[in-house]
Amino acid sequence: MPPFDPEPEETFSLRIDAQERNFRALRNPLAPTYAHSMEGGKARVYKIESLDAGSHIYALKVMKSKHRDPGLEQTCNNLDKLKDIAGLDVCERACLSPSRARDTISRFGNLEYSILMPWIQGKSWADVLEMAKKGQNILDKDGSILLASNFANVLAKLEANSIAHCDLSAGNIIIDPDPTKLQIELIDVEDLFALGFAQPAYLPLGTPGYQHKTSGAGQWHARGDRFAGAILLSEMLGWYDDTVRSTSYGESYFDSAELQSANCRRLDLLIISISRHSNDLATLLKRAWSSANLDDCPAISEWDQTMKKIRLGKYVVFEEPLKPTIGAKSPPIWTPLLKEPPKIEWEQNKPNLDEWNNEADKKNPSSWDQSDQKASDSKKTVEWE
Amino acid sequence: MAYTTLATRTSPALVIYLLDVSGSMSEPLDGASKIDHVNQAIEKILKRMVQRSTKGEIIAPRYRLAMIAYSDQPFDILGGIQSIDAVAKKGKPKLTADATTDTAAAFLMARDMLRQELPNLNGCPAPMVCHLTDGQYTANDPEPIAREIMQMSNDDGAVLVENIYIGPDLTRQPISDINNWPGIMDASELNNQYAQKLFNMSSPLPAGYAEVIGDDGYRLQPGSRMLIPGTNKELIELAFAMSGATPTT
Repeated sequence: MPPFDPEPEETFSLRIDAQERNFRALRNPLAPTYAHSMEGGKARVYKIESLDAGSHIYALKVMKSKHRDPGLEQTCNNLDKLKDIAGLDVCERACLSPSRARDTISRFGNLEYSILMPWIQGKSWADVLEMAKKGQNILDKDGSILLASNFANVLAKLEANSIAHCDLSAGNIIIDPDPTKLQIELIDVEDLFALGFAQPAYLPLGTPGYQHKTSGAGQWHARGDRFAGAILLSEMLGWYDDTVRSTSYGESYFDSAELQSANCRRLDLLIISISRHSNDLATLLKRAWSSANLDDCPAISEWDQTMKKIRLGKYVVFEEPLKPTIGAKSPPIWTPLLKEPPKIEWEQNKPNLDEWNNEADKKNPSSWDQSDQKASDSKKTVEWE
Repeated sequence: MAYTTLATRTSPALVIYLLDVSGSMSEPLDGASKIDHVNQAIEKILKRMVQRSTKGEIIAPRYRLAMIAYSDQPFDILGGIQSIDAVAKKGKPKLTADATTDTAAAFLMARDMLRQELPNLNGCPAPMVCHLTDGQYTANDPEPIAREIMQMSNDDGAVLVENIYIGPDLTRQPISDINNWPGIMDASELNNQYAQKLFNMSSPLPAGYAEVIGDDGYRLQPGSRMLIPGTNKELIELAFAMSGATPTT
């Protein structure tokens, strides 16, 4: 049977719990001849639109063969219970297990144990890092502290409930499209640690640029976010600074090889820029950097409290004590998947066909002509569709 | 350890494709023309590279590609080495077949590209040359040039050379189960003289690359030669999957 791997605008149906739902694969706005999809170490994620009663955007996470684990069904059920926690909208989900989606799996074998969940709209922190390479910046000094404190607040609430993402990286942090709010949502939560969750078949090892020196042994526990969280918070706190942005390594601020090393210039620069917010924050970064293990790293609550004090002094009075309960948040934007969630805007860039039409090189028989302009010259070697 | 550098925007992987588009590529194989299979496989591997490079709303330039189509002469169809985001914007290439087969000229063009690029590729994955052909060269012997390329290297390792030989009945034992096929370990497994020559022009498959291919459901063994007998559509797809197997984050 052919694998599920749609073309842009291709329509298909998924039958989950005896309900047939129709979707179409959305176009990659930067590469319009390809569907909008991303591949990571364990899965490919497709951005799809529901065709049933209103257009709602979902993510369909298709697991690679060795990661199609029957345990995912229970993991998804457990994650779904966490969807009301701030920053975990993505936890709402349905797993296409044999018991729930047999017909769909019989049509597309690679959809076994795939996961349907809300598409979390917004730019990732990885997008922000990439934008800086093109000279674009979205954060001033106030924006840096606001974003970092929102992120710390999300992580601190998880920590208070003994929950940890365990694979925090720039690509797994989504920033609310509203630039006045800079709220945070986390994605890629399948390796999340929480009390009562089964250990994943493959322990999360972290992502290069955010790994503690001990992460190679696996970091699936309640303190799994301390080091990666410290690095990410520090990136956000320092990102207002031109010097920090221009020195950034690439897909993370630090080169993975220099993490926790002595005499690291990038660390020195970041500490200077963070110190302009607060010396206490710079101290937290230094402690994380020199930690022997994750137990040694500052708890996320320390970052959160320190940033609250800074904002207390600058802007508003916080009346929000950190309680060891699941934090309340604004009403969820998603209703259960099988009901109708509110429409989410998505800007869809139509392909600019004029940009694809290049004048043929008279010496080179290859051609960039559109597919409806078939080559009449029998010497023509290539066309572009 | 060799071949462990990940393809990232800061250390992109360089892959140079040498694609035989001689007249014989319009002949049928497994229900379609050979060139049609190649076009579909190229489309698929470009899709995979775009997927591996797309992070949120941005395509990070994790791959740099060159495509040299050759028949009686080589043609640089991308106009030099291009990053994957630029190639993705162009669309999907569709090759057509024509004329004779000067394989050596194509390898020479690849060698010259590598000579220019290698001084700037320390810290990046070892480059790869992926050569596809359906038959004997009609001009000079490409093997000395291929061997020269296999001696070139950066700090991640020697340049990898993969060969895809399209045609029927190339192996002594038919490959019945592609997903569990371990790959070719010895030239004696091939019953075609030119395929045996291509064996000598093919690099051993690094372990990290075997693992990436394993994610797509294949079981090629580390150390097997990067030579795929493209006797049907599925094997051609496997061959192109191998060309995109540089590990990423």
